[in-house]
Amino acid sequence: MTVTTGTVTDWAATPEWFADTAAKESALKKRQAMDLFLAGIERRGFQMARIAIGDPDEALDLVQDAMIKLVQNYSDKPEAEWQPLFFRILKNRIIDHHRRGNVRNRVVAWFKPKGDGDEVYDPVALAPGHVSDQPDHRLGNADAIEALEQAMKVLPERQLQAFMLRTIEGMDVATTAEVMGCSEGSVKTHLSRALHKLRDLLEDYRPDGCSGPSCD
Amino acid sequence: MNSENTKETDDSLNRVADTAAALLQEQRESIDAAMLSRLNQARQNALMEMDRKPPVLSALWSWVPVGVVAMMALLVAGVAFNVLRLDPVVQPMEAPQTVKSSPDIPNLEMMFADEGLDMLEELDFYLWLEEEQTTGKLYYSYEVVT
Repeated sequence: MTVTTGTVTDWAATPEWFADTAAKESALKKRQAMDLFLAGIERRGFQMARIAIGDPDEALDLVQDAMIKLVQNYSDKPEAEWQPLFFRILKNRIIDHHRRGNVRNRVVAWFKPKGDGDEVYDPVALAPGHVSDQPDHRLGNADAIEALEQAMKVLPERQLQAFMLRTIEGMDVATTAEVMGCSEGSVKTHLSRALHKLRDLLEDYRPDGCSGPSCD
Repeated sequence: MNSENTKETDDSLNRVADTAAALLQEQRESIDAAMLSRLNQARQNALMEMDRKPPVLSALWSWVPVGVVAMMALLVAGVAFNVLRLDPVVQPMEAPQTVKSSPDIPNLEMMFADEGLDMLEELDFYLWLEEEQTTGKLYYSYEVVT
């Protein structure tokens, strides 16, 4: 229906105007919801990427890439799906980064002369020292955080993913399985192994200073 | 006994998880301002992608590639169909058969002759016009015809 005033048509009262206004309001609300979601998740995503790959600048690039992909491809999905979608994208980006790094390292190794005393990746050497090596085993949270991060870097990729998604993100087993692309049983296995390893590596950083099974 | 050991282990692992979660939370809260600013910029860059998509058509954008492929498929099919129709080797044209009129068989030409009826009515006029032009009596339209 068109409202005509004299010879001028008032478009503002037309159904098309209402439909256009409603569409714009809907788009604005969705944008605000996406802004709120990304603001809440950016730190956790950055932390996950940085622990997984080490370099903070590259971790930031991966997080931005994951955000852009989420907005481009999945912004029309329900909000409840954004969290698992974002971390699935980020997980894939981290895997791609590792693969590129492996290929690059292999290529470099081919051209590098042997006998240069290359540093070998030694997870045992990276693990924190035993508490008996320190005069005071209460080292504070900064060292504990550093020790935890070093211990997490030692974990196999899948165990690290399961640990971070369940522990940092608080995802349930089903959602974690969806993000990781595996079964719920695999998630529980990966998480259990990760926690066992972390417990062994972080035994010296328990808040009460106690160690061993007698303290449980 | 075994269940007690299992419960002890589970409790121990839960404490590891809780402690780790708390430490990582503290680490997140200590991210420096420069990195927070860069994270904010990354978020704004991502939101700009959302602004680029028109809101009304955002749901339809995913169908554009499918639509393009469908149109191209139709185009190819149309061209192929026309090529096959015009190819005398593939489909030899048969001579049109005349329909013999009969009281039992309706004259199809008469039935579908409506669209040419107006032209047929003016056919006499066109024939006269041609005749007049040929004889020279009607050379210009504004000339007096004698």
